[in-house]
Amino acid sequence: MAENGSDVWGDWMRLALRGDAAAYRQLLHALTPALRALVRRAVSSAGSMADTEDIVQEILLAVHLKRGNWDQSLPFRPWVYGVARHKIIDAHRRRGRHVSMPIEDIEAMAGASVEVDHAPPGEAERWLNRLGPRDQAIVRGMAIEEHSAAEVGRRLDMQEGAVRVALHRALKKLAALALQEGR
Amino acid sequence: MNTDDLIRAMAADNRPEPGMRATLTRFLPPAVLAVAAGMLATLGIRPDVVAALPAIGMKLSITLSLFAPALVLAASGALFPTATFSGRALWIAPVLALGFALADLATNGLAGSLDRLMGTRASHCLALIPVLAALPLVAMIAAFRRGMPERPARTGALAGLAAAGIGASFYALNCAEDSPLFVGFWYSVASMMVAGAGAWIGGRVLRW
Repeated sequence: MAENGSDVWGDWMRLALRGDAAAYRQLLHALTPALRALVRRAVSSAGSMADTEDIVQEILLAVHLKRGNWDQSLPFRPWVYGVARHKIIDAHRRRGRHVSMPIEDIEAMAGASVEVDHAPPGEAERWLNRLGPRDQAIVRGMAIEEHSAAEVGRRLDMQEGAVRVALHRALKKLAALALQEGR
Repeated sequence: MNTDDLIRAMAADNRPEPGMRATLTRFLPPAVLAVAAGMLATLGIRPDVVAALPAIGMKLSITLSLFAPALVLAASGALFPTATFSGRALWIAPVLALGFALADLATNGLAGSLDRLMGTRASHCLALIPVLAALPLVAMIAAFRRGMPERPARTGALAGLAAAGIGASFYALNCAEDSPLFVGFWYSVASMMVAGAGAWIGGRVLRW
């Protein structure tokens, strides 16, 4: 099972860092239910009402934007848990609570994945609404299955490369907006 | 936009940004070279540089022993999982400065020590060390933004100390104040100013 094999995650990420989009998508899809389980336990043990899916989305964005920092000679799982822990603590801090969470606790909280039939919306929709219309169109366009940067570019009258650059910037802005929340 | 949509958008963005380490290696050396060039073009090196080599060596031993540990600590704190380096290496510079100051007091006595400490160009030192530190500080903060500092203000302060070490090293080549009392006091004040600026900036721009 993928969720038990830290090496599988690491292997996918190594492929992804070499430009394998399919491996990357597989990795993100495998991470999500595991992160949901982790965040639910962390949130309930802190007695907080913070919304799980918001934090899951923030963790995924951070993994995405910071993945260049992962040392490929090290296992991937502890790195992801470190990112998750940082984001869980930060989410609580922004809601005015202080939680401390030793890294060992985070690893102990990782358990069975939580699968959901339909991924819940989370806050990404709200963050997205605060982007400019073109950025919104790019992120939404690329979120549609099998939509390529070339197609989105055609609709917006942009070069494919410019769409990719704008997509990357838009995702960075989403992460920054998430960070501002509740400050 | 649910989480699956977000994943598809992220998967389409398949060119990862370089990590903090690669960015630091790319940004910091040019910043230091630019400071070196600017410094040679404007301030220049003191004319009596050969005669002053012992004094310059005293200053550089302090400033470089501030720079190296501060940079290592800042960079390791901006990576994940945080490598644990002891912060104790940061004490090398102040201990050296104190040692030189005590040696000065032992040789030259207390008489006139306040004049030696005040020197004549303290404001020059206080202004130029931060100026020479500015570009390296910007380069480091820009690199650490790509990293994942767990304590942004601390990482910013350490970057400030490392930048002050660079700025003070260049300033030492020009500075004609050779009393260890002057160096120990005014270089420290200037470095704390840069560290404060780094902490302030770091707390604002290094959160992730």
